[in-house]
Amino acid sequence: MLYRQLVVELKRACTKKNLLLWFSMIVLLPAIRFFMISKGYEFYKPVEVFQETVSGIIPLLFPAIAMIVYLPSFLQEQRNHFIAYTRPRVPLHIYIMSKGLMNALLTGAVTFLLTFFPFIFIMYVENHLGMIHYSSLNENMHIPAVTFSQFLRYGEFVYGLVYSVWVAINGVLYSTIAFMLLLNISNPFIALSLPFLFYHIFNFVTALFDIPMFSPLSTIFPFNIEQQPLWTVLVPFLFLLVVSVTLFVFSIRNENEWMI
Amino acid sequence: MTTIISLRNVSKSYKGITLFENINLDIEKGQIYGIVGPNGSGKSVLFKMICGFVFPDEGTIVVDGIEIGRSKRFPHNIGVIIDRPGYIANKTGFQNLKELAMIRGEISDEKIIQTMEQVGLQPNAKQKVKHYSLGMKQKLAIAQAIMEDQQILVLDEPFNALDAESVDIIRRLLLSFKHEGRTILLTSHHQEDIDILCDHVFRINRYQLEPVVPMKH
Repeated sequence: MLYRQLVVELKRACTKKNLLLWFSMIVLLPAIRFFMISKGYEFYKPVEVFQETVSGIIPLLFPAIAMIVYLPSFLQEQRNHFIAYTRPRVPLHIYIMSKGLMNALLTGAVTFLLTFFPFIFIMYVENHLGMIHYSSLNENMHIPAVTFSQFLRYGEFVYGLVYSVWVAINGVLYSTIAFMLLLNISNPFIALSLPFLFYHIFNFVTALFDIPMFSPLSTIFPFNIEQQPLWTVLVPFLFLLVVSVTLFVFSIRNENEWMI
Repeated sequence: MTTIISLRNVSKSYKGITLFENINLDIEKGQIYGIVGPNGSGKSVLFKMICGFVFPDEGTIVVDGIEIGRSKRFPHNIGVIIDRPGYIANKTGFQNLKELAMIRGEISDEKIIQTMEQVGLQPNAKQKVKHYSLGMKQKLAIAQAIMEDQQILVLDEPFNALDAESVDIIRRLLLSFKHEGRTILLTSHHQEDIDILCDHVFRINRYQLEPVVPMKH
């Protein structure tokens, strides 16, 4: 029954409006940044262009980007009691589970492509188009490594793939937390603001304590600090994971009070 | 006559307020039942228990031979209006019904169109539901409750916000469903609806369901 409902939810989610939104997010956001940096910056390697392309607006808005993929449609259903009328057709827990899984799946796919699409374009297509002028490296120059560059030793494709998966996992985590907050908090504005506030307040706090390697922003988009051991990125991630599991358990126990 | 819904020794409290104490009720197939009572007397909670949306504190509810409880959350073939119309505001009436119909996947677009026309909505209108009047939203709620040919209809205030002509259309529709053998439970604050439609009427009084002699026209 869950599988069938997931198929229904996928069909319902794939509206022209949503497809256009997702396409805009995947293509336009990196494209705008790419064209901004294509002139006036000095690059030596394509991977630097990729790292600069996914910096800027995407890290600043990351939780909002993750939440906008699917949750507005859930909010629409919630606001006007639509979910109550699904109840004679499908068990509530199946319906909500399918919504949560579809939110995770679509957010994961969009945030993955948001990173992987520019990676593929810059690493494998752009060099044929010549849109970026690369300066030549000499022996005295050193390009600073960033976190996740550790994977470059396995090849550029592996680096791009692993990094994009990491961004997607974080996107899923933020949007899943927001989904569960929507389910349990009566004010949707507060529910959707909390993940965003967490992200930025913890960035501020980690900067204040001079531990930027643990900031949510720098562990997902680690291009503004020097390379850190990979375990550092797991610190805010594990914290969010614990929050997520706690919210899940609370949601299961709080079924009678869900905002539906 | 076949009993299609049976409540046995059902008790229910909601947020510390006792609503029902040991009520018993048998609903027969192909009949229209009216439940009346003042605001807050528990009409909606009674309907929610029959639909499996909430469970009784004590007692059993059997619908179409199956006990509603943890193992069977809701009866299969039931159409419901409870509390207020539910909809997705930025979609059209047709899109709303289509999205609900997709869940079971039992009916075609033509059936949705036919149902919308039956209740007095224009299926091809591009108007989004957020621009619907209250009466149109109510018709949409009725449409979703009947579009899959549900054999049991549980309708809480189905005539809310409807104009006189629409009330007449829906009354005739419900009577035709009764003649088809469908079972209908409804509430209404208008005695005329109860008088015209209902074969049996129960009043909620002091946590009990008391039969009232219907004034059928």
